[in-house]
Amino acid sequence: MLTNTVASEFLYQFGVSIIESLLFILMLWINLLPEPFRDPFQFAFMQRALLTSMLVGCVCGVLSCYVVLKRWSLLGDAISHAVLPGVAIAYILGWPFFIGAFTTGTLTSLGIGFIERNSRIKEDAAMGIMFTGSFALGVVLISHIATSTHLMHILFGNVLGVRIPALLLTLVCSVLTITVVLMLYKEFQLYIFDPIQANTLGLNTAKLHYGLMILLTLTIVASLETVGIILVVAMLITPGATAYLLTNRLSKMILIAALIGISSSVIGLFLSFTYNLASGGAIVLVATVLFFLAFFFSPHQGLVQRVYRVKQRDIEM
Amino acid sequence: MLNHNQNCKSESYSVYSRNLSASYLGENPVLTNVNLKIPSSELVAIVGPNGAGKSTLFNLLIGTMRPLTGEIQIFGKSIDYQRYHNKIAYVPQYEQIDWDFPISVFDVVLGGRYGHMHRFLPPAWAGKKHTDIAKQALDSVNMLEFRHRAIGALSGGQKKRVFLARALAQNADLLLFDEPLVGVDRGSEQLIFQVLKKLRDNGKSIVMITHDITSAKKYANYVVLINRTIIATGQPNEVLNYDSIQPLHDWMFTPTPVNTDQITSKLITSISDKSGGCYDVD
Repeated sequence: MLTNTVASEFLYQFGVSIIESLLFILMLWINLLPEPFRDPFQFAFMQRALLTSMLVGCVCGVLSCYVVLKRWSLLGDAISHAVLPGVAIAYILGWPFFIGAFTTGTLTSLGIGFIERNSRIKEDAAMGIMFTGSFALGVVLISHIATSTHLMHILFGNVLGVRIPALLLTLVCSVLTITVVLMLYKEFQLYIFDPIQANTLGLNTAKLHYGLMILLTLTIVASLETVGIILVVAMLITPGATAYLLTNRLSKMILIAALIGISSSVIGLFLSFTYNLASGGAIVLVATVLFFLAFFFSPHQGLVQRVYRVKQRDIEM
Repeated sequence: MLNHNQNCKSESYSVYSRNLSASYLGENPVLTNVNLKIPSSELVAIVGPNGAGKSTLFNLLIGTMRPLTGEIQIFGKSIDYQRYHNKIAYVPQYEQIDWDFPISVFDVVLGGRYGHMHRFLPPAWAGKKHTDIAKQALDSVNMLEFRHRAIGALSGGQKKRVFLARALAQNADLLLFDEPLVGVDRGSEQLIFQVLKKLRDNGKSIVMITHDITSAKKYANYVVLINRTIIATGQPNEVLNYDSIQPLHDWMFTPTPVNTDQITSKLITSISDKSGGCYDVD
């Protein structure tokens, strides 16, 4: 028992020192910026917020590509809402909240599949039932045990109040998710593009399916404190959708989506501090603006370019 | 169970099945009592009218569907075993693919090599060996110059050729081809069958599923006629003669509903009269 505590204490200190070195590296870059951009990040809480939101933006961006291509937007919505009762139950039992969040998130996604397979109800209705049900349970539990400010923080996130343990959790979840995505890049690509081919190559598609679902849940848990439950859905769709309009390669799409996720987090955080806005909302709004920029001005898929091409064709004819 | 003697024998067949039946959840069987002995190193066409269970048989052969009863062996081993060893390749139907997927032609073909690569490394580190094989495969279907294009930007015939190249790159022993001619232009059709014949001459087995009797007659050298069960197997000229095609033809192109039982029995008698109840290969 004693060695156990010593080991976990050591691991925790190790994580903290990694975070501190990451913050140090980040500040080296920040200090190169001109003064008005540099100033907000002199506060320790802003530095932590910056690192957290960059991690969340990156991991959400990466996962959002798979969500968009697999058409799992509604599933992301479902899992993120299903996380709420887990948070409440973990709070009551005094557990770390990510264990509860992860458990109810996974249970709900399994429950959706169970209802779908064992009745005539289709996937979208099954999702609607399961996620509203568990979300309602979460709201009831939280309203019973805590003040509405707590509920607001979980629903909408409060990145400015992130402390070291939460940051550590985000770091571990993000690193884990990104490592798995890199290692299983070709498997996931084939599974989403042509599941039957994945099957004929002897890949276990059921494992890939649930693996991707677990990654999704991990990402949502990691983003909980930053953008909150409701807005994490946006971060799990918008960067991927934006990148989808900009490229025809999955690898580039993942890279672009990660960059979009990071930059919208950073810009959103800066705006949130400067103009005293809700941080989660500001981050998602920046991501949405970036999406519409791509939607109108993308070199191949953009609306402007398409209209222009049609006009050109008309002139030629 | 098979005894040892039969087990050895089934290795010489590309597809061997006994008492195979299949049904979708809670419904009547789509296929019943399918006994197949398809010789290896042949270009085989599985022909049948719509609703005859062609796609079901195909799903059983790729292993996405499990049989209700009976068993299938590919070269004398289970499907799972052969899948794990990259021995089964397939070329999908047009509708099964999301053509907006952000992937280049070359990456699609490289997908055929994934089973040969290291599990946990990204394909970018696959090594020259795999990329060379993928390039060769693309070259043999005349698509090498398109390798940097997005897959969605190609024509129907070109897409089919790319997926054929993927199957070539996989270097499987059994190649399954679902409706090879749907949405394919003449030039691509000829090229595809040239490649398939070359594969067959190199000892590979090809099984294609088609409702197009003309192309089956033209290209295949072994035909399986199915309609919820095996109706006839053998040389195209024997199986696809006028008497057997005619009822099928009427069926496929008659707009009004017909009494299927009657036609089936007519079909069975017309064929068994000719070949003496040909349910078997040998």
